[in-house]
Amino acid sequence: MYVLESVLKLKSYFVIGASYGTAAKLIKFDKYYNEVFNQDYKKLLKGYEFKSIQFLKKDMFLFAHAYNKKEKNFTISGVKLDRKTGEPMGEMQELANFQLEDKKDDFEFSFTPTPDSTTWMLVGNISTDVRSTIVIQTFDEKLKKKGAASRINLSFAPNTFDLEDVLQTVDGKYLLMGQKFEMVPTGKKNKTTRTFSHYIFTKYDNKGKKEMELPVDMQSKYVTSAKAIYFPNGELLLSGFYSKEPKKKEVNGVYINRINVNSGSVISSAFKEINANMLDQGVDDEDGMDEDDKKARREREKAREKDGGEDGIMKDFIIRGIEFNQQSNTLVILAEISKFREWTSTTSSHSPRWGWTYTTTFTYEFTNSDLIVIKADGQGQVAWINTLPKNQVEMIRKSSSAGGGLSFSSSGVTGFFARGGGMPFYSSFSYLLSGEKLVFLINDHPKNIEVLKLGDKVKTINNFNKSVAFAVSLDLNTAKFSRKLLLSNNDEPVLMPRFAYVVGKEFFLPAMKMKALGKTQFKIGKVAVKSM
Amino acid sequence: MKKVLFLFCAATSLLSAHSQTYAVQWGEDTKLKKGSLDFDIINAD
Repeated sequence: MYVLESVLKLKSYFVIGASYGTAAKLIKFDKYYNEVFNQDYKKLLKGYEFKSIQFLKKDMFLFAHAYNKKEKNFTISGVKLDRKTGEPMGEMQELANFQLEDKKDDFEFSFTPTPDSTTWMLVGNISTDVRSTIVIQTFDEKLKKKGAASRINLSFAPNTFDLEDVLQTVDGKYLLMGQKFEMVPTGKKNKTTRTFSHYIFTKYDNKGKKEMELPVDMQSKYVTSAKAIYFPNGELLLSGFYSKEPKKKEVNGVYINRINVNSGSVISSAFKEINANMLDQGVDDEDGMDEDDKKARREREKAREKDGGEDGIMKDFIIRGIEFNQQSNTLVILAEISKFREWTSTTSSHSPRWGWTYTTTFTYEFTNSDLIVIKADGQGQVAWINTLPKNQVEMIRKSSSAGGGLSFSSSGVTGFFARGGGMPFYSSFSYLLSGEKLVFLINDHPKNIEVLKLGDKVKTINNFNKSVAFAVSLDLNTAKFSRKLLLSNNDEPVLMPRFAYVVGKEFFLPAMKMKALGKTQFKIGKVAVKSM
Repeated sequence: MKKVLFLFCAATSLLSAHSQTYAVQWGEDTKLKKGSLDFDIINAD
């Protein structure tokens, strides 16, 4: 059986949460994907800022927070919601309270169920100018505190550490995983740049006392990315990409470490070199491109050379998933080249009546290219690596005069405290396991229907209103991709694969079309995978 | 109810590729408030 974060049985409905600035809405759909209720929490959230709506087993809860600026006090509250109506079942209940020392201090938090869905885990991060404190508090199914909070004082400056994951171990302790950065002088007067240094995996007891740094066997290699799976037997499987050089300008291979968290020893470690020939890196086909597309392509190539060098592999790999099959003792790692850029521009216009008006446009550009799949055995020996060439470039613009509720911050793209929802809307992919096959959903250029292997010419998709959705199947025995056209997004709400909610062999996912004037067109549906 | 069933059937298409088949079903269009872009599927039950 493949280890998944959660397994749920589908009966009749599912739920969408949408936030509008500080307010929130909950929409429930029936089994025909038609609306059952549309609940607005404006009244409930008066004085609060919406955080999330989440499930623990069968119960649904809403979480919110409030900050008293005068008192420098941050409170986190929650309330159970009625599943049938979406109505709150009582008043908001205060769950935790954090007193900040200075108004400049930062506070961020996550409130999520543990992977076994038995407990809520609140992770708060209080950052001052000089230190960070991570506070962990668990709650039972009724939102009652389970024991005292654990306070972990990190020994480095807040701007030099990004928390990536917090896991509770089988013996009730905590594992913190994060990226350590160094402030490196740029050569210009008094200027430094924040440069990734290494990953940190540390075990703390339930009082927040450091027990040990977990060993990672990297054999003089440098980790560029990592993703961990913690197994109930107390074993941590850690996998990601590495570079041979300390500057980590390019990726040179993939590593797999198995670590015994209880004893703090490495069970096994394996490395597999990968090279540029194994990847397409989003090299696109110029046939049929207009001048704007060609110009955009040249800009992307310039950025690529700057990032990875001509012979190297770009370092911008994001691990999207790790699937471990305990029965067959096989491991599948899924990664994607993913880049993000943002910029602002201001335009002015003049009218005799209103004088000068200025409009600032924020542009966010997400590039999601090659999908890479690595299959290995339980000891980490790589069986094969295969790549599906693709190049999705999604640009989202927001104008300061346009209003609306776009909420986004660049630091939250991969951060621990910002998960789910957000941007990009149409690029990247979702996947599920169907027997010995991995099935991917992607939006792509219609002419890429024959793109199945490295070397196939790939067309960049940047206008998703003209894209099509493909179901791409990867045979885990033969490592071969096949593709099938699912639907056209032309003149329809565009499929949002990254938002898919996977239950067994079904993807439940939304489709959306934003309009310059009028409301956003939206629908939800299902893609079911059946084996013949 | 008839309308719902008709839409349900009309929106269902079966596609096959090698040893996999894919069935796609859509509900009716809903309107979201303009500018509401931060949403997520929370659960399927």
